[in-house]
Amino acid sequence: MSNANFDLHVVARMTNRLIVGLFGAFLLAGMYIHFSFHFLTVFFLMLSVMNVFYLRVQKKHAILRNFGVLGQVRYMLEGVGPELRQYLFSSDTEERPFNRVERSEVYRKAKGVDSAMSFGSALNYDATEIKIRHSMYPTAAEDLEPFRITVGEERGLASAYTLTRPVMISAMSYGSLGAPAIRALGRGARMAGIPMNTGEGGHPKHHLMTGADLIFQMGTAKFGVRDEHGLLDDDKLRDLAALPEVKMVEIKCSQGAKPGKGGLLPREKITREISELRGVPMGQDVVSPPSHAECASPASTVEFIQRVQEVSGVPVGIKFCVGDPEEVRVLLEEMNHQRIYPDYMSIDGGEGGTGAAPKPYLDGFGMPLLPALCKVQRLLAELGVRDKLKVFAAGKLINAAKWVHGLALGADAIYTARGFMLALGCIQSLQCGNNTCPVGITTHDPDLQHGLDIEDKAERVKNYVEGVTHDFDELMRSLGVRSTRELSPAHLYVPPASILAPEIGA
Amino acid sequence: MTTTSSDVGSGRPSAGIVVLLWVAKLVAAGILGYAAILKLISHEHEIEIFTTLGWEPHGRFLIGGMEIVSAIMILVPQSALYGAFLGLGVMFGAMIGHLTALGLAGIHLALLVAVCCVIILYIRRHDATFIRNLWDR
Ligand SMILES: Cc1cc2nc3c(=O)[nH]c(=O)nc-3n(C[C@H](O)[C@H](O)[C@H](O)COP(=O)(O)O)c2cc1C
Repeated sequence: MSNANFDLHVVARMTNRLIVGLFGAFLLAGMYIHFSFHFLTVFFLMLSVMNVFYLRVQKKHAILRNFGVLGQVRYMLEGVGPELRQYLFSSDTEERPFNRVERSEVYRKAKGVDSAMSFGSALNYDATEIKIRHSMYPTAAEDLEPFRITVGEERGLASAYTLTRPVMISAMSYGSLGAPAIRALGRGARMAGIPMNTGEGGHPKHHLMTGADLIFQMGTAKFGVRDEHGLLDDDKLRDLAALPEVKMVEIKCSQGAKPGKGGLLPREKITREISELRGVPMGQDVVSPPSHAECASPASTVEFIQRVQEVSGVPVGIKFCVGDPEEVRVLLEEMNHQRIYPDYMSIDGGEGGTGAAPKPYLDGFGMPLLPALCKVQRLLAELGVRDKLKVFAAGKLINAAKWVHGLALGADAIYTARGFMLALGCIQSLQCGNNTCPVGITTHDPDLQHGLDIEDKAERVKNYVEGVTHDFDELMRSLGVRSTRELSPAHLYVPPASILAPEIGA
Repeated sequence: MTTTSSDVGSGRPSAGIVVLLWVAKLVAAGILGYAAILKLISHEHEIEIFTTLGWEPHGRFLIGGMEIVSAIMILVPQSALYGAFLGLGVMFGAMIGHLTALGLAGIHLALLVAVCCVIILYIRRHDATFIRNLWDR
């Protein structure tokens, strides 16, 4: 409401007088010309009454007190501002966290339509975007090796799990997502032949119904496998890991959206179902501590990893967001000392998505994925741990080029959560924490869930995986490599203004 | 929705306020609904009035329609505020009609409805969505 050229206060005062004046004028017109003018009389009378209320009676809104109904216009515009910006005024590359160009690529992949673009890049091509270095000698299609990594092979596990596609569905709990979204994701994952992480929502009842391969995530509150004190209950974990669908277990140490922060499940949200799945009593708040009670030091963390490996009998990973790389170094040294290694490490970028997190954590905590990945990769190599485990990466890796970035910087496979939400039809209306998701993904409101057709969306999840994998294979051939193991940071061109420039020069 | 429909903006409305609100709603909706039905079934008294105003018959149906809509909206808690606003506008029109063309007989009912609408508007003022948007940010 600030404009130096004219004084809004004067304009508002004149408007407010004009309203009263028009009331009088139409009153006379109604009396002497035609009674129909009284429609306008009443209209301006109502405006005048509102004005008296705004200017004299109410005290909460300074703008309404000073400007009257004109001030109301401001609130109306502000109320529809987000929608107007998204639909009319934002350029294609402006929105966050994913701009329209990135989103529509996922939508097109999910719908199985061509995503070629014409005439040039819409991104800030020269300054910040990382480029992939192609080879003058692309790989022939028949020379490309099919993607294949086996998690747990380092320990020689009979239960080692083989991935045949470079991507997996990252952790999203039942709770943050509604049941139909979980079902659609699970079915899509099964059709595409990729595993799905359950998130920290406890016993994966809804995931299990889909028949997808599951990575069971154990959050700091150990929902689904906790004893009455919130510590790990070995028997429950053993039973769960014995389910044929549960292929791996992931210990979540931290998450990029809120590293170092626990959570609180308010008692109002604990329905009978949630209470059963998560293994918590009804009628009282449940606290997710910021870390696992069993993991108070590097030594006890490694011991806990070993315990989970022994109890579950399946490959076990840890998920964290890098804060101080030196802490990672100490943890790796401890692993070397005890000769215990997780079967994989999943690195979450500080840009990480979530259903809900406090704004300072969301915006201002944790290392961004690509530099974090570089650091971890270097530490792993330096300490001789690289060939003891696999590395997964998550953080906005939603298209084939981003997958190449992640794999070139050291990841063995890609995790994405929001990429799959977009494939489900997420329109990024940023309401995940409000139970009001307009497309029925992060809501438990049956009316809103009605919009999400499980069959149709499962198909889209599958199309998305296949579409991006197809792109990825093409990129691999243009890179002139035959398997992802050949990828290295040297395959990336990093412009000086990129976030990666301090790690890898151009 | 949870914190906004109270009498003074915080806490629960007292029992007295709730009773007053519902009395105002029932009186306003009752009179509005009755007047609307008379208009919509073309009662001869209404035809007379609207002939005097030069609005027969379309104006009669229009006003009757607005009255029945406002009566219903007043009874539904979520829309009471807006129903009362509409009802107040119609009653202003009725009062203008009585003061300028129809004579004062019968104006007391319009006044009564208008007062009830003002009561509803005042008690429910925190339901105004545009203002609430600002606070909920
Ligand atoms: C709706 C939603 C729920 C999530 N729930 C969990 C969770 O339960 N546990 C977890 O470790 N990460 C959770 N995450 C984080 C994701 O698994 C992932 O690490 C993060 O979103 C970054 O990946 P992306 O950029 O591909 O979305 C959630 C993310 C979203 C969007």
